Amino acid sequence: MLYIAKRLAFYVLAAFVAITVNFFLPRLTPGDPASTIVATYSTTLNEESLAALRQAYGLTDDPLFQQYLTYLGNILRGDFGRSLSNFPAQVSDIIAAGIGWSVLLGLTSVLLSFVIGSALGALAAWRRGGIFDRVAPPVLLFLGSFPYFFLALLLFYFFCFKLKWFPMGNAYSSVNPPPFTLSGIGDVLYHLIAPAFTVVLVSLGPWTLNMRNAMIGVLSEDYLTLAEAKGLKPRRVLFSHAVRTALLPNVTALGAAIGGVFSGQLLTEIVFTYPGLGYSLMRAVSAVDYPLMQALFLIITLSVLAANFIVDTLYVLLDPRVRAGQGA
Amino acid sequence: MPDLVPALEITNLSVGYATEDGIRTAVDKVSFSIAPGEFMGLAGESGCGKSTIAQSILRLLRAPGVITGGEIRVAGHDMLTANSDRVRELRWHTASIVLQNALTSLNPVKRISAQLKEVLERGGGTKTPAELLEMVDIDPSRLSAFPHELSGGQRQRVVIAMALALSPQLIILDEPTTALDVIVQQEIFVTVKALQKRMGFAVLLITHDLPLLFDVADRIAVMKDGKIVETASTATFRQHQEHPYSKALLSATPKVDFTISEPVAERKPVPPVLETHHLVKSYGRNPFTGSAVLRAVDDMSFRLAPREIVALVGASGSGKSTFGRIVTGLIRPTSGDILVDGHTPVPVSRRRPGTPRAAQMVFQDVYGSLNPLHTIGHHLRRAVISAPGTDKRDVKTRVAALLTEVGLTPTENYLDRRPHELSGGQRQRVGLARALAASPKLLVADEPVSMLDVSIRRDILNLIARLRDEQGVAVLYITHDVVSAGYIADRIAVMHRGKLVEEGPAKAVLKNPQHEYTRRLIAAVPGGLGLPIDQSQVALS
Repeated sequence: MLYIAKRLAFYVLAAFVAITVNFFLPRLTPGDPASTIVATYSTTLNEESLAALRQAYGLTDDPLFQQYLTYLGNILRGDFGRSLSNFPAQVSDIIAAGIGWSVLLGLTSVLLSFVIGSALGALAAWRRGGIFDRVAPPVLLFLGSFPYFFLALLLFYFFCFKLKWFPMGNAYSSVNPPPFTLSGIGDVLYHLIAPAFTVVLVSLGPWTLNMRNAMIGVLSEDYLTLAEAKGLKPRRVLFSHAVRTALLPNVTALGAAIGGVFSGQLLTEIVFTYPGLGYSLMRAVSAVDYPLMQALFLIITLSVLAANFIVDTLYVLLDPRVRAGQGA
Repeated sequence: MPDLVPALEITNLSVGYATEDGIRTAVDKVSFSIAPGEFMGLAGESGCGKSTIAQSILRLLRAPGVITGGEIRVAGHDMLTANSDRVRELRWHTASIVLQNALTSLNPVKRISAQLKEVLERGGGTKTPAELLEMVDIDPSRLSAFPHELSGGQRQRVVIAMALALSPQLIILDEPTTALDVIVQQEIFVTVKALQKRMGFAVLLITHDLPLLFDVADRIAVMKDGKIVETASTATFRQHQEHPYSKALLSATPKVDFTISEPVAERKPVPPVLETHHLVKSYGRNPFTGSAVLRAVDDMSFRLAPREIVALVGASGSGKSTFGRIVTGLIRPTSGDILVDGHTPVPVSRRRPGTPRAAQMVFQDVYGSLNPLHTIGHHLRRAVISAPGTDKRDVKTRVAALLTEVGLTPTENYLDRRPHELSGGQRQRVGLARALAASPKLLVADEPVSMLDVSIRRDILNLIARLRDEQGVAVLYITHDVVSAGYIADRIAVMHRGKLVEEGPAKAVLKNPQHEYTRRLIAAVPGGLGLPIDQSQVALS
């Protein structure tokens, strides 16, 4: 428990540092983005609109520290200001609309590749030197060497455009998000398949290889020999002893992978016009929508931290040695 | 009449390892049997095939190992012709095994209760996990503990309890206490013998330690190069060894010769080569009280005269290695004074070529302490070049001289070899040569022979003694083995939980130990020290 509290304190501190950097960095650069934009409009807009614009950006003549406190307060209330490209929509509303889809796509693809990759890796190590062990790792590494967007374009062209097996984009068929019914969920899943499949295909290689290597290490341990000597069924030796222990390094990697969800699948979202945060980020960048960008960067950073904290906590449950505080 | 069926019967067993040039024989037509309830010892050095036999009995041998012929019957069941399901069924019900490394034979992420239950779920066991733990003298409240929360001895007890869970006719103990201290070893065997008396299982104990077998086994088999060279009852074997190898193995074990009286130490007032005052090394700090969590070295005041060999004896965790590391400057003390040859040791990180090194380290791990990528010549040249006062032109002759000193001749045979081409004993000789390169006043030898085979241990100890005589170097010999300490050292210092509990002339300490802990340490030595020990001292309560 103390361990988790310590980790939590660390992550709260890290989040605070991230927010602070996110605030100061644009303001420290000469000609910061906000005042640049205000300056661009200063000739075309009247005094009143300009003042309103300044206010919308939170661009005041208050001392920096005062602004910083205001910013912290706003963030705690979930107020990220207003978006430029979708003025006067709140940035938080835009993010709220996209984050669900990003989380859905991200978690689905990462968890799928984690489960499938670990299973393949365990299988390869268990039948070490077999046909599967010799064929699977190079094939998966070859697939993994594709850039996301290239494979995404390829799959999009064949399966969505040519064969029309999957929809050409978006996360659902209707204009409004579907109701929470069986057919609605089915529709969402149908749209999910192609982008999730892309991400899984590209990221499967490392999961498989790491699992295979960890398994081979564990399989030579004395406690595996003992488990076998005890007359346990091979299936039990595999799952209860070998996989259980060999999975630990992959769980660590899972934290990093979940944290990287938003940035990693950005291009996939763009190719499949999936309405997640990556897609929003692209629109924000092309529209020079600084408030939205800033908020998105913050969300990405915070999601990395949150995911790592969850994995740290999970690790305590999986590896009792961490509980004693010896290494991690 | 099930009792007449031998617990183990091996006939003409041959096992080989597949290599590129065909099958290399590891076990060659070995036959022996163990009667029900018998305690059999199988002795031999590493590589003689004794562990291969152990693994073959339960059909645990993995590729590239292959059983090429013969027959194994455990309690009458043929293990080699049965299909793998049948073998799995027979494992643990007929024979179980305890592996050498207590630290890794339990799954680190599972509670010991789960690992015990796993066995009981196969059926046939009559005891609960709690009863099994009680049987091996572990508090049943430790059931929910994870392996890392138990000591090495406790873990091995858990494995023994596990091995007995399904009441097999045979237990194979494959070097079960090699990684443990003598006192712990003795306690474990007292438990095993008591359980054997009560439950009547047979034991096959595989070890390199003949004196240990004298204490516990009914019958002894000696193995060499895949063959059993001699089998005899312990009483017979003790009196007379038939085969020359058995004799060699037995005489290789250092013994303390009490008939030679110790030379009277010259009491010249020479400045000591090593002197410490109230030396403390503590680890961890309680954030509230500021007190140290662990005091590895606790208030050590110690002197070592030039040309003296002092053995620092203690169990693992007693702080003896920490002390050695402080002396060589590898770690810094928390408080207290230390003078090596009149100077405070320079930390390794701040050492420059040419800085005098009064103390040099000889490491325990002969496999890990030489970089496998470099040749022996490279290792020694590096050591010679960085030694103070070396003339660059003399490097070659100096390296050759060092190799000659440690008995690796002709030297040109060794210069271009890499560590993996040398035997363990040769590697330790290289380690000694490397330590001598800087012409140190003091050698700190941390368990220099514990990883070596029995038959070469004495050679290395003799070499260390000879180096003292010829080079005049003082030696701090750190060990858990009182016998070898008595064999080589002038004085013995006993450490227990970071403190120096006893110190004195070697044989005097061994003959007449003053401290309770020293007495227990000596009593736990298998086979005794070579002097009659009062039997009441040996018996444990």
